[in-house]
Amino acid sequence: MPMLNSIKRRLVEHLATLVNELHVGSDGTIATSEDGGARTLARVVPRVQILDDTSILVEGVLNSSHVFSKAIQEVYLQYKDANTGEFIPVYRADIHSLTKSAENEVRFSFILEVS
Amino acid sequence: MMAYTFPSPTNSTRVAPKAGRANAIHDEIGAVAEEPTFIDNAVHHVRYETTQDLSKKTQVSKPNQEHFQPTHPRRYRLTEEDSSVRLAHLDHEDAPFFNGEQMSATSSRPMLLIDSQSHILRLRTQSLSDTNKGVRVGLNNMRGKSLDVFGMNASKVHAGQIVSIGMRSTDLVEKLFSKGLHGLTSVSTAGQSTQFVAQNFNSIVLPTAIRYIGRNDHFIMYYDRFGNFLYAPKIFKNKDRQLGNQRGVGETKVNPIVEVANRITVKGKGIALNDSLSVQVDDSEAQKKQGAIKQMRIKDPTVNNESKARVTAGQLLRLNKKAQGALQSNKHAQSWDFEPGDIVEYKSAIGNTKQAIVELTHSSTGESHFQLISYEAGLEAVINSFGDDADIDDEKDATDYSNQVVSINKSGVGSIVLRVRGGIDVRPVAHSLSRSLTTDTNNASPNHHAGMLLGHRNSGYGAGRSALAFGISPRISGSHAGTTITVTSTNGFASSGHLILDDQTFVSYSGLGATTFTGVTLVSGASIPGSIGTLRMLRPRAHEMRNTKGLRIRRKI
Repeated sequence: MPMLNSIKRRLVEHLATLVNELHVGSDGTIATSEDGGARTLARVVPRVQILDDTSILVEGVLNSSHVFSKAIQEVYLQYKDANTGEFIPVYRADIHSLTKSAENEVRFSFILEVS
Repeated sequence: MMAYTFPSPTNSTRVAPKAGRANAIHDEIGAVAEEPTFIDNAVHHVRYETTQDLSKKTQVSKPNQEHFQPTHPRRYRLTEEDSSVRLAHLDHEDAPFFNGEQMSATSSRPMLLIDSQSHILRLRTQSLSDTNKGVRVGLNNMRGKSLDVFGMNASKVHAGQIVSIGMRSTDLVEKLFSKGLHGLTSVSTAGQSTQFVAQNFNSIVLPTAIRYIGRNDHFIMYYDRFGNFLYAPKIFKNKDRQLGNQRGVGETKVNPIVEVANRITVKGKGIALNDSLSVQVDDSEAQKKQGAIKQMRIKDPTVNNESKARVTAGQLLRLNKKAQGALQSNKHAQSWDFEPGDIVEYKSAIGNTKQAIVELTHSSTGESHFQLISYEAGLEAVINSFGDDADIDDEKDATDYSNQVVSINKSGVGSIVLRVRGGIDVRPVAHSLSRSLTTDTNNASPNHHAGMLLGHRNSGYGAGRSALAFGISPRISGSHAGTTITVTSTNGFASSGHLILDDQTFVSYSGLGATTFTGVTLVSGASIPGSIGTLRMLRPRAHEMRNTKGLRIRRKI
């Protein structure tokens, strides 16, 4: 039986509250569903926007003020409770190595889709 | 866990629970006969848990009364009724005590009633209700049946819970190999299970015994052609590798690894005579689609109540559906390094998917053929459950009596998929400078900032830069003599440049003192006036931003 669209919309709304941190990290190991974090170089608060009934957009920008000696090799999304410090890993991707210096800016965008 | 012996005045090594009525006995007898500190043939009963956080610590703690019902040597008088029994004291009709309180409709009820003559004859209780003689204990699945049918005709019972004494499943597997003759090169277990299994494996072949243990802890056995045997929770491991590039016209087809089932009957292991642990769950949607009922029977020793059986059946139906989509993909080139159990990224027309390799053949022509299944946690369990029909005889506990209540369980498998698509935009930033006023150095010829500037490129070296005008130029008065103009202050003026005097005379100057412009030469206008009403820079200073960006490069994650 198909799952109904109304609950998907509700899940999307809930999902939008479950991403409030975007990390870039230096760990390039292959991403698996068992991962529980990242070797964080920097953390930004992403912009989370509900695009339609089945998808949200999560977007984070690192401007030219972010300079790291190590290459960025992973991106990681998580939810962190500001009061309790509890965190829920949401998504991790290993990416092609990227050097972040004062001479570039990087925008990460993710579409999370419930379908 | 506790072991018990029947009380005897001469038996000083009695171990008995201290709760309930026994307290008084302890106080009286304990005053003269001290409780022993070491008992042969006794078992420590502890709770053994693995904490579900990152530490995965194993914790051993003392159990309390909520976790376990001690089976006391005390016997109760049993009177049979229809679908229930009445329990009373051996010699009077009051409601008896159990687990520290008098049995009533509101007290905690014993899990089992155990025949005082034969401990394998047990009844599972369902409810307690008050009656004027003793207490009434409701029983399931007993309508129209008498206890004689089960061969239970004792008039006295114990109440409580039974305990099997077994070993940790991983230890048990090692123990089985230590006793048996086998030709394996190595035998190892990975990880420590927290499941304990008690089972008689006499005259059972090793693979069947290990599969049976595997159904308790969802571990799976794995052996390779070199004779190494591994018993581990997960045989699937991520391999950082893509599988694609079929050679020639390689074919890909759907090849289910298990039979299709749209009705699953899960049979659990009953511990009482009136247990009925057989639950049938139907996937009505699949039955309707396929036009037939395809049944599969699974025996799950971990199932000891109905709701657990329903959960198992529902999960197996879901995984069965998944296993139907298993792929057979042939003729892959350069894939000799793959092994069964690898999780790979499989390139196909619909995109890359994570697939686990279940079977594979490497041929001498350099081609490899794969049997793949979409990887999902719990896959090990389905292979374990569906893979082997061999059964270990536990008929001693079997209860194959027809049910009096017919329950219908339906399962509907609907799916929601959560997908993430990501992208990275990288944009070079040639140069950046926080907003500031043009400095004298920057404002040198030919880069004077003036007027409405939106962009400005340095003609010499260095990064291009942007500037915002209008800047403000000081307007001051002064006087002129020779090639010098004297003012109150030259603060804010460039070291050399151009001036407008009284909005009509245009001069240049080549030097700057604190209060003087030197090297003043007329550029246009009639003459330089001796007394100057307003003097201002020809090119006012701009606010410089200098933030130049290149083209955006977009990459898919």
